[in-house]
Amino acid sequence: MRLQSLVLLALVAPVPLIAQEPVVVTCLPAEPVGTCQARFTPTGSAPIPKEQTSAGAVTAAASRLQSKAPGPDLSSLGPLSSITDFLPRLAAAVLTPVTGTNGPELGFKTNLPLNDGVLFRWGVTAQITGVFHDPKLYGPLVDSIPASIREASRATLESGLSVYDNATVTGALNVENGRLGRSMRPHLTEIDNLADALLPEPEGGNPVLAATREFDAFFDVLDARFDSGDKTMLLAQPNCAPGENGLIDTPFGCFTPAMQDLLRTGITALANASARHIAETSRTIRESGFTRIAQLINNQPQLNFSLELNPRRSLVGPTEWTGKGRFEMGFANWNGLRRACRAAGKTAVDPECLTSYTHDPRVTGSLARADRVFIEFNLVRRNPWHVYLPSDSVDLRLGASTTFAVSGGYGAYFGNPDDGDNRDRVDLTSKYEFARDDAIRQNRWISTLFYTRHVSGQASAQIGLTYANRPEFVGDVTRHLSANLGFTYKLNQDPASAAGQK
Amino acid sequence: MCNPLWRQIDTPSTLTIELTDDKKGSIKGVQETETASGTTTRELKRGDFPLKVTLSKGMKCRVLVQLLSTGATSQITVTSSVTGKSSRGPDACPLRVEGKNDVAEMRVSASARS
Repeated sequence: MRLQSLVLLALVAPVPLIAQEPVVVTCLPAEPVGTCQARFTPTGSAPIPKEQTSAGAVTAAASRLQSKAPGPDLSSLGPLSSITDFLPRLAAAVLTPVTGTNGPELGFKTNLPLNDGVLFRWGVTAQITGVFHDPKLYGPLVDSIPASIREASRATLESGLSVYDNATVTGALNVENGRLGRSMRPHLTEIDNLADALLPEPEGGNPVLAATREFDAFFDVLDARFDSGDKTMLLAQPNCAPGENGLIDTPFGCFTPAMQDLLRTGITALANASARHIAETSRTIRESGFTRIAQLINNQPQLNFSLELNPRRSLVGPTEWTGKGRFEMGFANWNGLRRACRAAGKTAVDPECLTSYTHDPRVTGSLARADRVFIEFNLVRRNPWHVYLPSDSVDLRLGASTTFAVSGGYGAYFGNPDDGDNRDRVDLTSKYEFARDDAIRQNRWISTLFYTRHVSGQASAQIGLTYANRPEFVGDVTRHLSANLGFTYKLNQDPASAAGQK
Repeated sequence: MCNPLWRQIDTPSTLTIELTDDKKGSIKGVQETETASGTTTRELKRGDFPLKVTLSKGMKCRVLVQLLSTGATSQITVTSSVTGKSSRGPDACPLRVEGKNDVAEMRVSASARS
């Protein structure tokens, strides 16, 4: 009866809701039946890229020097804005050369998982960075050396400097909880509950397990027949005997042609049930907006604080410390989804309000643009500084100074969201610095508006305007349109300098 | 190997299913246990893993593990094995989802001798 039910299962398979390519099962003669069925039962997985198989070796080498990153960029669209992504995707090894900055440097960066949910639940993730910069003589010091001996003095003095004479040590904290931070961890339970509500088990049970039950039952009968002495399902060949799992471990070619047809039919039924289940589940989660969740969490508000200490040998410059507080967010985020669900009278995020929110044109537009805003406060304190070099005719003194800066900005992409960060973008930033007790610096206000045009690969063209409250603060621009306004056009090869970060 | 169908397991043995979870996707599962007294179904969540099922005479246990994409690329590995009177596996099945593949799933089936 079980053999008949297996055939019946295959013949009266329900009409698929989604058109799929039919599964064509071909088992190799030497291949055990169980291996063949495993091979043809789809998992729906994306193929694993070859480079990821060696990732373990790289990770093992770095793991003794780093803690697990708190949460890399989650969005499938890649890095979404000019705003610095606090969540690092890399942790460099100790004293790894860092390039791409003002000169060769050595540094390390490590994340401390103080909110990993296992050992720590402190609601913050910490990061410690140490960099040893290429030491150069302090600019005002060089300028104060008489011109006649300047170059010779500079060479002599710089020859005595080492990489440890200009160091930066930064400690940073990023707040992570259900309302702040872009880590997935605080939201995992909520997301899993949402998946349960979205994909309840169907009446009559899971179709994949039902098909497995039928296939298993078929082999129950077959094994029972074999054990009772009926070996007519097998060809009379050497090495054609059941394995440790019974006849399912017997090579396919050992079965009679009629039995092979039956086995193929059974494997096809199992494969079709799997393929249908994967396709239907995929359609359901796509239509619900479930696949937008990572982007909503990626847009969550971020609040982070850092303290940077820059101890320097006096020849290199005054020692400084900088305190920074930064807030940034994307407009369509998980907090917004929660608010929308509450407004609809729900006590928790459910499939209905998820679908409604992720299909709202304002939300889809914001997600497509990946627009973000930030505001940042900086306090820089410079220690008093004095250098006396009678042989070089230098006696230079600077008093302590304090600078407070407020900056803010907005950035957004334009174009096809499927292109990820290979799209045009616009970035508007504004910064005001209050300088106190500083004989050299003055209060300054600088605003920039940049349009970045993606050209190809890592190359982008940038066009923009820079406004400053004093002409000397406009900086390096292509052309001065007026005393306070500059125009810039440049071609960037470095993706990090896109959107005016450099 | 994915989708193992282990049969004729001597008892007592234990079916163990472990996940290496990158905590970027959503995990769902269904466990179906068939005994002489009937079939029970249980929905599984992330916290239910590692899953250990003690197999007794005549018991059949089928577990489906699903990885659903939240939009981020997620990769987990489902490692299943039978230990005790009989030994099967361990078999490791990597499941990976990204934008195009929203769902990945595999099932483990273990049947004990009557």
